[in-house]
Amino acid sequence: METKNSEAFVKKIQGWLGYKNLKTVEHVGTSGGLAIFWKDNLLVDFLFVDKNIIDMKVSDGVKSWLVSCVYGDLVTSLRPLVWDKIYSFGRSRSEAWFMIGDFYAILSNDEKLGGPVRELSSFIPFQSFLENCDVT
Amino acid sequence: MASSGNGFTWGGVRNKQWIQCKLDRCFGNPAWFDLFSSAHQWFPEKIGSDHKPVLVKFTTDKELFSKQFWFDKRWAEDPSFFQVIQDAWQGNNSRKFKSVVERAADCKQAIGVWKNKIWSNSEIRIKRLRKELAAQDASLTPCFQRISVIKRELAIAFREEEVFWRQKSQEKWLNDGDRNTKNFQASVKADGVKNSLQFLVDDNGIDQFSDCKKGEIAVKYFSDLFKSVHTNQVSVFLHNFQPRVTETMNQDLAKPISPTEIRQAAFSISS
Repeated sequence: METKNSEAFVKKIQGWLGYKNLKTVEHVGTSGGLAIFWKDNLLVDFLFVDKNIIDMKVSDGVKSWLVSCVYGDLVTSLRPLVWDKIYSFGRSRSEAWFMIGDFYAILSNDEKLGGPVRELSSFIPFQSFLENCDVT
Repeated sequence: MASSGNGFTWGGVRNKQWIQCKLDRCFGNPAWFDLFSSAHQWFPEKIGSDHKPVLVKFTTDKELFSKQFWFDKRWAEDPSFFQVIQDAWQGNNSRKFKSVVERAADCKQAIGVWKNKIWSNSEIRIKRLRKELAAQDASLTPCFQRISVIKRELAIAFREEEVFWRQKSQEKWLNDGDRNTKNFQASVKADGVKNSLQFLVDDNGIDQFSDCKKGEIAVKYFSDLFKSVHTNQVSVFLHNFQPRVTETMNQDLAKPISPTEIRQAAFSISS
């Protein structure tokens, strides 16, 4: 989740919610900042962390899977770079993998209500990213 | 991934126009769907942000007992509640004689009507406000003034709810021995999830998280606990003992219970 807040504040929330574990990425200015809370019954290994992506391996002792938590870049022109980064470590993945987050991107004009209609070409980077990663 | 609800997770004003987009969601690869075939995503209302959260459930485990009638102790603190029970029990509208079971059923029904019409607590307010907020969210022309009023009222209701459960769970639950399950569950929740039974380990050493599987493990554990495993060895241990129960006595004890005996036993209990 995007926190927009300091680690101290996020720690307080962690206490309220009762999660034992926390990983944060500090915010820059008034936007961004990421936090992951998890319980003790899960084993979490962080594979890659930056201001847009937290990529991790999660295991419950029996099953394990990969999770990419995504926070799409605020700057439109930088968004494809986020996709490229995820694809660079995701392309070779055959294990169970899922991604979740605020991708800051849509796949078609149907995913938007109000405002001007967008150029179809603007959807291509996100569409091909999902296709290449073989996720639905 | 399959989803339920309104997936337009973001709403904002751009160039004086209200715009909504599906920005937040979840995707999985084929191997992930093999692992969690019933995974599903939801989009709860926007409350503290201009985005809706994405809620993903990995397994479906429907709450089995959600439709059962539970007596909520908070009702008893409402002055109008006593009258509801009294009227229903005495059956003021009917001259027909009614049994205790019928009266109890009447009370249950009257409580249901009263609960929906009159009874208002933070929980109900939260439900109503969240529904209204979701409707505003989905609207193409939301009323921003109304949304801020809803959010303010929600904040108050959430706080009341939290205070209520904290008090109930810590002060009353154990002392009163109240069997209200929802109350108990909430008290566990308020305790920071410390006491919840998140998983049970089955015979193969695998952690099971679903309520259904946890139930099976618990049933098996207690069935095995009360089952004797080494029945053959008992006779070895008892080899040199002189029996105190004669064969005739044993036959008498092992005989099936007769209705007469049940009747005698039942009527010998003093009231």
